[in-house]
Amino acid sequence: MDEILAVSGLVKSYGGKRAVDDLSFVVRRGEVMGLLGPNGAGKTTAIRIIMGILAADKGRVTFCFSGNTTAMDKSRIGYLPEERGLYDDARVLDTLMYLGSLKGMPRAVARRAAMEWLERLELVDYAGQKMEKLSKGMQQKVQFVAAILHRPELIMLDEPFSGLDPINQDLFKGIVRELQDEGLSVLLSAHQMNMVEELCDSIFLIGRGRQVLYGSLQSIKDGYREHLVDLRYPRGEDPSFLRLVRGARVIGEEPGHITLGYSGGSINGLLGDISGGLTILEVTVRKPPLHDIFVDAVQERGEEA
Amino acid sequence: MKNGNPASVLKVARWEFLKGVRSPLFLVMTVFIPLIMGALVGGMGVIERMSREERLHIAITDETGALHSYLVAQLAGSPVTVTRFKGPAAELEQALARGEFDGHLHYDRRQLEAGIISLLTRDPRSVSLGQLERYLLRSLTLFRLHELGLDGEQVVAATTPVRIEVRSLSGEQPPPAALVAPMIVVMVLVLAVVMSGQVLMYGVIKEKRNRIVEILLSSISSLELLVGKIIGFGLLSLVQIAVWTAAGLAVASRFVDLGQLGLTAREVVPSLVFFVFGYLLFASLFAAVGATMKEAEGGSQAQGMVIMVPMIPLFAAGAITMSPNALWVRVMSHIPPFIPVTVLIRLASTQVPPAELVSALAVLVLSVGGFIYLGARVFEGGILRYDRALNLRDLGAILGRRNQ
Repeated sequence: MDEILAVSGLVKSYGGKRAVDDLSFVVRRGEVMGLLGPNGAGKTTAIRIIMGILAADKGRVTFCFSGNTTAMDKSRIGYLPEERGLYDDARVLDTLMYLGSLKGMPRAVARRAAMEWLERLELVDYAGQKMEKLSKGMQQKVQFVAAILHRPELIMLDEPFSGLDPINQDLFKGIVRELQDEGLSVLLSAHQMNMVEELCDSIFLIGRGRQVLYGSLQSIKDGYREHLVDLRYPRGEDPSFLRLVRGARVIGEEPGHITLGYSGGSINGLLGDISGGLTILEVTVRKPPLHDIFVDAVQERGEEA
Repeated sequence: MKNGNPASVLKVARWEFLKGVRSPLFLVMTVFIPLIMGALVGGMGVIERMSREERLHIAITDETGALHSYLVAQLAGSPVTVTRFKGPAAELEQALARGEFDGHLHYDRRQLEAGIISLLTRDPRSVSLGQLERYLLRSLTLFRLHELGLDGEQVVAATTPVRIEVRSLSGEQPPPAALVAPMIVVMVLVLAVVMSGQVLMYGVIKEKRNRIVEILLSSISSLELLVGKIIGFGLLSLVQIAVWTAAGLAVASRFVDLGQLGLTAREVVPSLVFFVFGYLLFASLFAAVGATMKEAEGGSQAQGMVIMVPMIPLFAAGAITMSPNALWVRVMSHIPPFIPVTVLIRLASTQVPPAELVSALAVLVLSVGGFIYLGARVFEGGILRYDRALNLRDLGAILGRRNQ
């Protein structure tokens, strides 16, 4: 996969406080990349710099559209900002046509594309309505359409799922997958870790403006030192000795079932330690969910700072 | 700040124009305000005419009979009538109380010489002061001159005021309408500049509040957005002026011969040029101010003062009209924020020397470029600050930042 976006050494300060501090990453063509971080970590600032809405103090943002390296071409990028809204006194179709035309779409093409999307999102009956007549969820769908109407090569979605009900979250998720299948690249900022885990190929985690984790989802999970180990054993046996096993911590326990967090080295070694004191009926070893990795990494960075 | 793409600017201008034309606010401002003003002017005319027709019946006690007979002759045909009362004072008071007379005037030579004559009424508030001044006072003044021994011709000569009649070299005297029309044009232009600038400012605040602005800035630059808005709202303003002018001319044509207004292209074109550049200057200033505000209601005193600065010449309009070519007025005609209104008022009052018009226009055009540039910088720096209004320190930081 070749790169469509390369960010290098991005720095941005507000009144002496560094909001973004030396960020570097790439987004590859056809990839969905998650830009994660706690509130105030610098995600939105980074996205605004990439979009050219804010200027960086230092660093470089390079795009490579259709094989040509360029500084910026806003018509090839779709953007759904976190702080979003539309003209409440304008009609849905007019608004979409206007926003499409600003991205370089001829008005007739923008109209046709807007109607197709409205049809698909079951909003076609509202095409002639003013935005203020639509529910919040409907408005969010229109905003999403505005970001992808012009079939950009790179889409930046800043918290696209916030405020959506589960049905519409699934709808948006399906569309993102579809766009990825069509070869589009997506830079996604979200707090819903399950969504990120399902959609993203790679992840960039920011904490206090700096890089905390970066890589493919699988490599980040593989690189995380702890495993989650679920053990089932006959009721009546005593698993309390497991608390003394080096590198193990008990996360959950109920009769006949215990979940351990293990970062003591080889799983084989752990199983050897367990089998001496407990009859293993079933064992499952897995990497922790992204949520846990996120919390752990952010807390670790907080303690460092 | 990036350079603007004219195509993007025109798309924004088109959108703002069409959205504005369809808005109820535009309809109200464009159609209803002239209607309301017309109704007010018409209403005042009706009230004035009604008050002129109000009748007054005054009782006069005049032992010599000289005043009564003089007033009867003078007030013939007017709504004020006088009756000489010869009965006792108590009876006159009763007649006043019954409303048979609106007032009682006792003629006393010493009072007339002193210049103060008492009028006794049931209630001083119920007597039309307008009618007293219009008819009775003038007649009493004439009577005083008559009593001093002046004959009819001398009285006419003494009571006719001296006027200065201004004529052109050719000897033509412009009709009164021609003197008033340029001032009306100026007032319409100033009103349009201020109103459209403020509508633009509130539009910017609204876009900031409803968060559309970040979506727009993901497609175009802040400079393109700002200039597009200024052009769009400017076109709206021109439509508004066209409607107002058409309505004004339609109404005026019923009362005066439009040909007498003497409004030629030579007089109107300079005003329109200063109007256009004045609008650009004000609009960039107002849009920048809008970008620094969080809510329309939340403007600080400093922001309010910024908006007021270009309108300062309006407060001095009387003095400018009286001395349109005074040195201080010529200086004001070259101070950027004051240029549009000052020059527009001067154009309505006098023949501004062409060289001065050109120099003022040159300063104005350069200032417009500077204001749009600085306005765009403030716009760019302030438009995404959703959480609070910008203060002077923020502005300093934005304007002090090197060009991006």
